[in-house]
Amino acid sequence: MSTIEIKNLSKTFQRTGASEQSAVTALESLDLWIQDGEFFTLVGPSGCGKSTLLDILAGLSSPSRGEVLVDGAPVSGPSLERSVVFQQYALFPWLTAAANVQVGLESQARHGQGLNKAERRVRAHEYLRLVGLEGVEAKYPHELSGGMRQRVAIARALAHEPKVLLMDEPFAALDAQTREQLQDLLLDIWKRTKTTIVFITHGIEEAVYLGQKVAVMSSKPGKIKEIVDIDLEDRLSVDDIRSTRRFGEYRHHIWTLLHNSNQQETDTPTGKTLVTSGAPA
Amino acid sequence: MSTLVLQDQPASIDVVSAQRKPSTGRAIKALRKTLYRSGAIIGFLLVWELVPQFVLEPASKVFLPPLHEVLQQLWKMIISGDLATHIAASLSRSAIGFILAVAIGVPVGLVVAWFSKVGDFLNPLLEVFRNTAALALLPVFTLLLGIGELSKVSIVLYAAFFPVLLNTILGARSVDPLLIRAGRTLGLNSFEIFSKVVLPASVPIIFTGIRMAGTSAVLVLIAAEMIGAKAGLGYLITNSQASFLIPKMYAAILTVAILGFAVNAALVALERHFSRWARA
Repeated sequence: MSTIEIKNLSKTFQRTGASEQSAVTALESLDLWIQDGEFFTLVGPSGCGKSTLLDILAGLSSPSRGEVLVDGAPVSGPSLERSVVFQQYALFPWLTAAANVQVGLESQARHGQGLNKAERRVRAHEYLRLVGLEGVEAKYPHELSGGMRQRVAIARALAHEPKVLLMDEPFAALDAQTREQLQDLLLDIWKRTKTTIVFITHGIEEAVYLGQKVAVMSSKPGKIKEIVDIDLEDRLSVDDIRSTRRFGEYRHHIWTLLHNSNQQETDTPTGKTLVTSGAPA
Repeated sequence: MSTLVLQDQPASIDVVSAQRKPSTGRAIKALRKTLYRSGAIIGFLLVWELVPQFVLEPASKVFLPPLHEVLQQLWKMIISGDLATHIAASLSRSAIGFILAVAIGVPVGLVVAWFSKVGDFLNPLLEVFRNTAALALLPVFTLLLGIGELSKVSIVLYAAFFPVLLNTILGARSVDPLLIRAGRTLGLNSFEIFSKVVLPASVPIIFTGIRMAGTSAVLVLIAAEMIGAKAGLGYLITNSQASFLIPKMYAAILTVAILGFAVNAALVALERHFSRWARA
């Protein structure tokens, strides 16, 4: 239920060396428009500044230049409206699964606009059920597998019903099978909740499988190289969509974009045709 | 192949016979383990009992009475209530000093860790204090605070304070920054980050400091009581020695050993309880 507008965004880090100072440009003049309810994936080589971008979207760090607008209002700090799912789960290990899910709800309640204690508990159980976890409410994170921990983290990010869900390589630490399960779970949740999702990954296949749009980034400095519209049928209703020809074309196209950006900018003639053919009016 | 099968057969029979009496087998195993673990202590006590009786000359036996005499003396002191008075005196002093150390050390440590500039400023001084043996300062405490309760509680406080403080700083500083970031995205303000993330995350390391503080609180107090006191286990040891009540002296030493062991065990249990989530 929210549009995200990124205007001329730049981020430089001051690196204090032994004697002289040098500035590293992580992001340079980035412009992006993410539509309400869109599943937007960002793919890029490591060090292209995609995590920096997500930090800025989350309000965890501020841009050097430019601004981020969510529904027209500039982002000035972290907010419950923008939830984050981190690669390393970031669950509070001293809290049970259900208590972890309630952290955001408790913050809401402290600001006087939330649920009471009993309602919060019910909500936590609801969201744990939504991510396919039942009966683990009283378990501590160390008693859960990696996949289950990330499910709890997703439930925690969603329980207070944010407008935007930001995900920073959330499935990178999981094994292939668990990752596929969680990708499908995420698509299912997205369809049900209509939350705007910004999903960062270094996996091309993951980006194509999940995203309606895939932004391909290049590094040094971090820039958006191209935004590819992905026009595939409903992933969950087609068997093994990853093996289809169109999926392969998208994958190859993005691979070529990333590959060329590593070899310092060559032209990508196939790119444009595929984008236009992939997005019928 | 056939030889393999034949080799398998006796093994499977063994398994069956082992399964038949699992409880007795396990009990014997547990007993053997306990015996092995307490072997050194039992051996030590045996040497204590037997060497004075059969090896030492009567003249030196006076200075090292056999265990049973010490235990008899201990029992007498328990019956008369004498021992309880001294234990109460020692325990209340170390408990007061220890509790004050925790009550001051944890908040101060958290503040020092939170404001890193304060920490950078204070750290060298803290290192100097920490590495100064508490007992070296006992004369100073006695000069300034007299030989009464105040100086004893103060020296315990001093000795217990630094492990608590330094571990609290260490614990609060080593909190995973990712958890702080996650907390911020979940709507926690600075104070809530502090109370709901930093504090609980540092509890296991803080408790290690508290355990160390508890042990040193008892150790330092006994030494302090030996120098100037009218009651307490340290006083009992030196006073018995001066009065040539040698079995009484050993009884007091034995009490100190048991007390130190019990305090440590209690604090270890507490530490385990509060950091059970940290055992991945």
